[in-house]
Amino acid sequence: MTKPEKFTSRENSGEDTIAETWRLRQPISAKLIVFLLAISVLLGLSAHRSQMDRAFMETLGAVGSLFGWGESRVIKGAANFIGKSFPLVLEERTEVSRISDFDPNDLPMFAYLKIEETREYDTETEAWKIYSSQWLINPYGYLWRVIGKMADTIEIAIWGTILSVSLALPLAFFAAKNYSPSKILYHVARAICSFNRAVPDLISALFFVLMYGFGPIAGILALGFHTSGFLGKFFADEIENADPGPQLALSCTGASRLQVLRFAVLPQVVPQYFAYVQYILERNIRMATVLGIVGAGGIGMELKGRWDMFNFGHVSTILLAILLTVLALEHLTQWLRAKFI
Amino acid sequence: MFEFHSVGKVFDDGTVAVDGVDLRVRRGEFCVLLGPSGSGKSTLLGMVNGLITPTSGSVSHDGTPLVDLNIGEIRCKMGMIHQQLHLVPRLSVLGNVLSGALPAVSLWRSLLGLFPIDFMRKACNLLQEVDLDADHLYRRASTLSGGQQQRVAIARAFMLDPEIVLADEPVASLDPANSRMVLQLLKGTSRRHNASVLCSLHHLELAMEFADRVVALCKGKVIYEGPPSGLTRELLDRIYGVGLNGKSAPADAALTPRMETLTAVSA
Ligand SMILES: Nc1ncnc2c1ncn2[C@@H]1O[C@H](COP(=O)(O)OP(=O)(O)OP(=O)(O)O)[C@@H](O)[C@H]1O
Ligand SMILES: [Mg+2]
Repeated sequence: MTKPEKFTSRENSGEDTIAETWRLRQPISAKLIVFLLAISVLLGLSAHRSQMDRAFMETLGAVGSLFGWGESRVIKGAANFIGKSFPLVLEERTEVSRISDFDPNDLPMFAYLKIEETREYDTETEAWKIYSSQWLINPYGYLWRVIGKMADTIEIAIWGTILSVSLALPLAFFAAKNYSPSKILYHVARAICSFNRAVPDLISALFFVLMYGFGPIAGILALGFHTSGFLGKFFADEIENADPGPQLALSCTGASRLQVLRFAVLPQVVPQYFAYVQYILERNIRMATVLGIVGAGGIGMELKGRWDMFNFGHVSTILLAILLTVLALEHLTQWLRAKFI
Repeated sequence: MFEFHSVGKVFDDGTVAVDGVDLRVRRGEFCVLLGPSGSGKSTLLGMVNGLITPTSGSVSHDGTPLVDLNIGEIRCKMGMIHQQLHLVPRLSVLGNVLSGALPAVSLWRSLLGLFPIDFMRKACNLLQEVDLDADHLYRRASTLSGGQQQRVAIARAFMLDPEIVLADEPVASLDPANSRMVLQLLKGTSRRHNASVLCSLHHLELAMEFADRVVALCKGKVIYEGPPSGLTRELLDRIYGVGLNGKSAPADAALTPRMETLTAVSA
């Protein structure tokens, strides 16, 4: 089907409609059908391997048992957790005998003392033995503790983001094809970005814990390095895609490349940069709550400890705190963005 | 001054965009490039500010070929105004005008956006010259109308007291009234600053009205050079194709000999 053929046929038979002379593509081709079939077979195999069939059956069972048909271990598991999670634990109890320099006349705010008796059956004397212990109850002590940990977590996320931005800005300069000083540096910068993205922060946190010990440093480094891979790439792509017109105009006036970057590119990319940083900050806050599980500071460490001790009342307080914080911060950053950009 | 010595440009794909152009832009004149689409106007302008290097002949400044000069230095001696406005949309009007002076500002000052006060004054004066007032100073360029944006671009082009201002279809995206005003401001400003203007235009009437000298291009060759009054009907037909109705362009064979005699006459 070459062009001349097409044109001659049109000249010869004047009443040919366009649809006959022009080759139209079929919306559904045999190739597409084969492709879709192959994909569904592959997905089917994979579904079994990843237990999607079991997930479906169990979920069905769970819904059934909600309506009274049979039993479901999914529902049992959920009920088990929910039953133990309430009431939320807000108070902190400390046995007075364990507190050194205890002064009953100088209690913390809202705190009170409580005497608890525990009985124990002594098999030798065949009598109940009664122990009495005095507890210092701080009704909102645990809540305060969680709030403090949450603040740590947010700080980890913020510093992680600051680290990430300060790594990403220079990376972006080298990783933007149109501004990179050399091709080698361009490839190196892109490779660093990919590498940082490729190493999950939960895993790099493990190594940073080995290097810097338990605590926030490991979390900050893990978040900073991982997300600098994203930001570096996003920033660089944004520079590459910036409208070339103003850049051309400024370089025509004789401005140097750095000046062009500052005056013709930066103003164009700033709104997007803010959007990216906002997203990364939100993501880091969510991630920082989890990082503590591997010992990298923040509320995750508390969560892991309580979970391992089956203190589900404490766990649910923590979960609620995380949920509320994430929601609140998302609104806050959105509000900030709307206000300043 | 800027001079073209039998300048030619053949693009990598074999397109002959400019072919043996001799041209001298005199100090302070308003020189208009005319010619149909694809006749090489943009290419010619691009060769002055070094965006495009000629494949034959040379462009020279005060007798020295541009290739022997520092491109950054030579660019400080010229301003450029583009058809698509090319202001930085999110930068303020003042910022846009100041950015025309970047080569004269030290790097650290420019990176911090701290322009010397003299430049600020100059920017304000220029904005006044193009009929923009203090209210516009800190407005984002993107919030201005097309005509206002082009006036800002004019102010930017004059920041470094250029010898020549290159304008590639500066009014192509404006309505007639705005076009006239922008050209008036461009001409007036260039007069006051004793700068020449090399400007490509599509509008014949505007060219007739504003040009001190017209250079008409056709297929990369100069076929007329002289005052606008010398543009006869017959010449226009040759430039834009017979009848100006866009239906039929004259065959190459018929046009080329006449064109050659014309260039010979004008040279
Ligand atoms: N980068 C390029 N590569 C190849 N050919 C080009 C290039 N730039 C321009 N040309 C060709 O050179 C010729 C002259 O182009 P030029 O842009 O100078 O025309 P023009 O007179 O400015 O047209 P217009 O009035 O439409 O802007 C055209 O045929 C164009 O296709
Ligand atoms: Mg053009």
